[in-house]
Amino acid sequence: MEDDKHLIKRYLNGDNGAVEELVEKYQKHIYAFVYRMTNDIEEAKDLTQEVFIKAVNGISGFRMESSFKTWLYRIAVNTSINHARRNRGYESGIEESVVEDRAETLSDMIEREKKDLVREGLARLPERQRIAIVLRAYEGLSCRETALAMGCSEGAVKAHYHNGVKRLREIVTEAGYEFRP
Amino acid sequence: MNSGHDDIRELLPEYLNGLLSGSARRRIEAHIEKCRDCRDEFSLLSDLTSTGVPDPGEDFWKALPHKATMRSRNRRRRDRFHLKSLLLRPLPAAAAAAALLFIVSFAYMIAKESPGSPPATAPTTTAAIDSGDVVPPIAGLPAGDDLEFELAALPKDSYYEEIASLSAEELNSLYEALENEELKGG
Repeated sequence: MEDDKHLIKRYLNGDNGAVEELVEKYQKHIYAFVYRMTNDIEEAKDLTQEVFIKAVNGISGFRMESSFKTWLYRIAVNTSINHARRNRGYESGIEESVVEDRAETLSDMIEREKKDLVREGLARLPERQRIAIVLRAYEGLSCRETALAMGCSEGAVKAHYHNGVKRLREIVTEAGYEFRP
Repeated sequence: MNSGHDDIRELLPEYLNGLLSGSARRRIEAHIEKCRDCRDEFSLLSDLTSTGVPDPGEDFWKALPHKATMRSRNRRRRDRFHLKSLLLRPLPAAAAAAALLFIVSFAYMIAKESPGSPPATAPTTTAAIDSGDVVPPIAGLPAGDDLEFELAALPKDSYYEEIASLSAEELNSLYEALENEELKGG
């Protein structure tokens, strides 16, 4: 696949197809990130579109100093934060994990409940901790990339991530679940 | 927690996402096998990331690139229009306000200068005049109830004395003559 910066240059020279290639390349990453921030499919779809509209609108201002991916995540982080602030007071319900229509063993059921608990715990973490965990653990961004996406220092990312993971571990152990050996 | 644990934990997300090289991967695997605490953290991250994200469907993925590009273009157009509106709208408004002000001022001036227009205030009666407020017609003369014209006190070369000695008929003739010469009112 073509280099992001080359695609951006092509778009700035009038090739609209180049920016569509960029959207296609990152749409699943951005959707996954905003879904984990909202826990709602429809909201995630709308926000994903909003992120790309903002990105295409602002692409001429992208200075190519950081990677396009990090810049895109930064837009996604800000869009998610603004969305959460607009909807503050409204607790988006965590969608139930899909229960397959088959007999479930007791250990499977316990594992599923524990995962639901972890997901719920993640949704209730302070915003910055949640973003740090989602970007690091789910999206696989490095500390540096996460810091650029969140607009803070690497030290701050490490602190947010560490405190968030610590809190999630407390939630699981307080509920009486054990981690897999 | 010592720095060895910290280093390992910081790399767990990368390990989980398969982003580490062979040697780094082996180092982490060896550590979490021995260390319960780091293993629990890895297990938590595995639980977190094992929960999938619902797929919005192939139609969404196919439509999004074109849709986002088109909507972005429309939004730019709309923003440009809004900017133009913001810049241009005050101008017609200001022009209209200036035109209205001009018309009102002009109408007011016309009405004020019109001879048929009613006086702005009620006519003053002679009884209402305080003689102390009367400004003497000739500079240097006292004003007030005791005002008396002393013709002798007038300047020698003045024609006031001559005018004062004219009869009413002669004064009328003089007034008409001045009016005909368009000198009335100075």
